[in-house]
Amino acid sequence: MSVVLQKLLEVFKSVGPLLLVVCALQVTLVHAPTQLFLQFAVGSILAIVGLTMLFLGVDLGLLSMGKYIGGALPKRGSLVLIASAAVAIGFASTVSEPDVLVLSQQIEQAAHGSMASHVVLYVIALGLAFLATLAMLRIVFGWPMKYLLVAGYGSALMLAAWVPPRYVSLAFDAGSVTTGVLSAPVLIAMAMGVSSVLAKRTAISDGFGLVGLASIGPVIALLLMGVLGS
Amino acid sequence: MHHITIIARDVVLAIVPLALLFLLFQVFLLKLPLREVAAVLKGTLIASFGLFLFLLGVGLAFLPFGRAIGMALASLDRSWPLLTMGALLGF
Repeated sequence: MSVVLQKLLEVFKSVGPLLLVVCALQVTLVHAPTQLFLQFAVGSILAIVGLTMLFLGVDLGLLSMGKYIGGALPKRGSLVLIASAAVAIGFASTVSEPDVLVLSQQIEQAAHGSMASHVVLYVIALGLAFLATLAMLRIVFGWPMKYLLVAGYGSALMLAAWVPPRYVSLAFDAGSVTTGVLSAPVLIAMAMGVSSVLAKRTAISDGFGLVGLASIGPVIALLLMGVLGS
Repeated sequence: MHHITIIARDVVLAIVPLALLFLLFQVFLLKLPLREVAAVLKGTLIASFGLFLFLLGVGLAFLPFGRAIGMALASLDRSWPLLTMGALLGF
């Protein structure tokens, strides 16, 4: 039971300042109708309870899921297995990431239906899955992080120069929402698992970096969608 | 009510692939003891219920209210409050 309280406290610490700022804004600047403000209060409580349960679930189950799978992958010594597992886990954990779900719904609303939310969702997930695979292979082969970062951001910047501006802003938002409460721990746990089994690899330099690299994927994917769509 | 069913569908669509993937790994590769499998699935179930509540709350609270804040800030004729608020809320 104390674990639940501890998580609840954690969530309050992270959401509390936001709630305070919103309340301050309400009385000073925004003056939204009372009904909207009440709706905000009820919704915040739901979101806080939900986030607490989500963190709990990640701690209890999803983290070990990532760790078990990551640890089992290198044992077979098959690159195909490692790569396809990275694709599958990258895709599945992004599709279930709350931040990504919220962003793709917002995009659909703002575009008035011209971009369907599930299309955006799958494009983001595919981009992440592809780069997560590259990042996983980096751990296996020990490629230096800097070359991959330069190549990833280089191609994103080049693409950004010739797609319509609205895709550029969407793409970079999409890159950052993929590093949320659900996909980040699962992916990091998997990377740690892989690097802990491989000899001569340290968890610090190899276990981390996967999420950072992988989040360039959605940026490139949405930019490519912009190139094809325009 | 319609809203709730859509969110529930989103959550199921989100969590089921991850859970299936784990079961697939379990059958062909991991072969963990049943207790561990049950723990992982229990965590997944709690997480998906949390995800449902969280998305419901965000849809109810933060999206409409964030919009109201944004519109109020953008209609001010000076830009500094917008910049300060952007920094504050981002923090």
